[in-house]
Amino acid sequence: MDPTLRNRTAVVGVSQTPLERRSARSIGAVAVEAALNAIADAGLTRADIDGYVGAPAAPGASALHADGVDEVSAGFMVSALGLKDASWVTDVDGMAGGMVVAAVQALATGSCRYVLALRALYNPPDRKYSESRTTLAAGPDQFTLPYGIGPGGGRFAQWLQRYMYDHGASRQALFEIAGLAREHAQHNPLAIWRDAGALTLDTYMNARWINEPMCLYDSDMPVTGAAAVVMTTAERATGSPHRPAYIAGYANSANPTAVFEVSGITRRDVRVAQIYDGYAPMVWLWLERFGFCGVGEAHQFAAGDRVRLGGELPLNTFGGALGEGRLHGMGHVREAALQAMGRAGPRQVRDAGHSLVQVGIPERSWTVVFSADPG
Amino acid sequence: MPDSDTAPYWTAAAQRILSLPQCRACGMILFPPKARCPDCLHEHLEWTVLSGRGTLYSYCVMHMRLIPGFEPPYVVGVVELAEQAGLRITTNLLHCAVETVRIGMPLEVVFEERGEGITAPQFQPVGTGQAPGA
Repeated sequence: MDPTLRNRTAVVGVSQTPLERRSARSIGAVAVEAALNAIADAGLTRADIDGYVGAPAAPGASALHADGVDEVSAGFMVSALGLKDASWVTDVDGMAGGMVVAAVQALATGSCRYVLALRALYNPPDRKYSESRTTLAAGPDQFTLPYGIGPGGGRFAQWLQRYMYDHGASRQALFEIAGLAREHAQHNPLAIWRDAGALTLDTYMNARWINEPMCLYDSDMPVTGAAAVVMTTAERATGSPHRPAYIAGYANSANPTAVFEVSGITRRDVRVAQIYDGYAPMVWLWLERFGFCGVGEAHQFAAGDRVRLGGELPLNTFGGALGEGRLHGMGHVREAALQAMGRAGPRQVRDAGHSLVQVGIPERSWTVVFSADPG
Repeated sequence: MPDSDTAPYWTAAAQRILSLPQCRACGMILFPPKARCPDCLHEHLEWTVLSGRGTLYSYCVMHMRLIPGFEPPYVVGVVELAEQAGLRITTNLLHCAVETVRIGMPLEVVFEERGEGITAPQFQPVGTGQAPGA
């Protein structure tokens, strides 16, 4: 990102629907609810929205990829919301951080004035989320699916196995990630695991394997639900009902640490971080890539009070995907914005001046820093 | 399903040969097969026959029944091929009990008929008695 874009745009409205493991509602119904609530939260009406960005891809192996069934495209949403005068409409790939990045660019170039960015997920009630019907595969999957490994957690289990071998990490250390998620989820009214209470080490260590050495609690739970944000330029944001969350900077996976420089901050200025935890070991991977700790140290770094609310670098304060449910990073984006806006309620980190969010897999990821103060 | 970049890999496998494209300019062996060397961008690639030897880089044990033909628990490994550091491909471990799997164990290629004309390169521990490549 060019530093001239620093704090030029902001999130001014945020919403999220309740999350349900299985829902009788359609993905369109939850998406429209999230959209209307985000627009209202920004103090706007539908007529103000002239930009839309979505991230429609359904991530499960059994996904139908059908518009209005398990995905909502930009075209679907523009039609469903009657956004007749939208001047900028697009979809990005499945990672929610990319929506924020695309919206910054659209707003900075004057392509539109108010962007609605929305991610909706649908957990099919009639089939297994990660089930493949065949081992016939094209593209990169032709080298994995014939060996019984789908696009889900297997490769992160392999990453974990090697990490444990290289760095002496234990599953007790990985429990810290899942345990932290469940602890923080208790302060998030929308979290699927909110009422389940804390996860004990004993329960974790005795849980059934999914992709050994990852167990049931190392994967997030597929859900049906949607979340949305409304973004605009810094100038327009001053009239918003809530304090804006300015976008200080962004960077992609090729050089994730660039996010500090373009945002005009150092690592130490990050007061709170939402790190993608669709699978628990990913948190270790990204903490090291950002340099919050050295290579091979994350399993010791991400433990205890340091990464909890009140600590020096609170992580996944909303419970992460492991505690909240699989919104594929949109929960992370929402929480990062809420922290910078000072609206995270019982989860609010004091002086959350710079709030970082990373969403994505190693080779495809976006990181965004929100700032409470446009400088 | 092979595409025009990957078809020679599967064709060679059907003949019980492990083969990958190698850049004629810088010597890099490419996996997955690509149309051009991503390192030096040279376009002249040559399919090279590999020794089929390697070591186990990592693995996981799959415990869910999600993919047809795979009965859990089963191992999905990543083998690092002897020819090049970091050259890693996905494999099951044949003739190898789950509890004997170790990172770093020496492996050799074998070929598994999958029906419909598809032969999948697979790996087994060196010295399991099964003839290499058979």
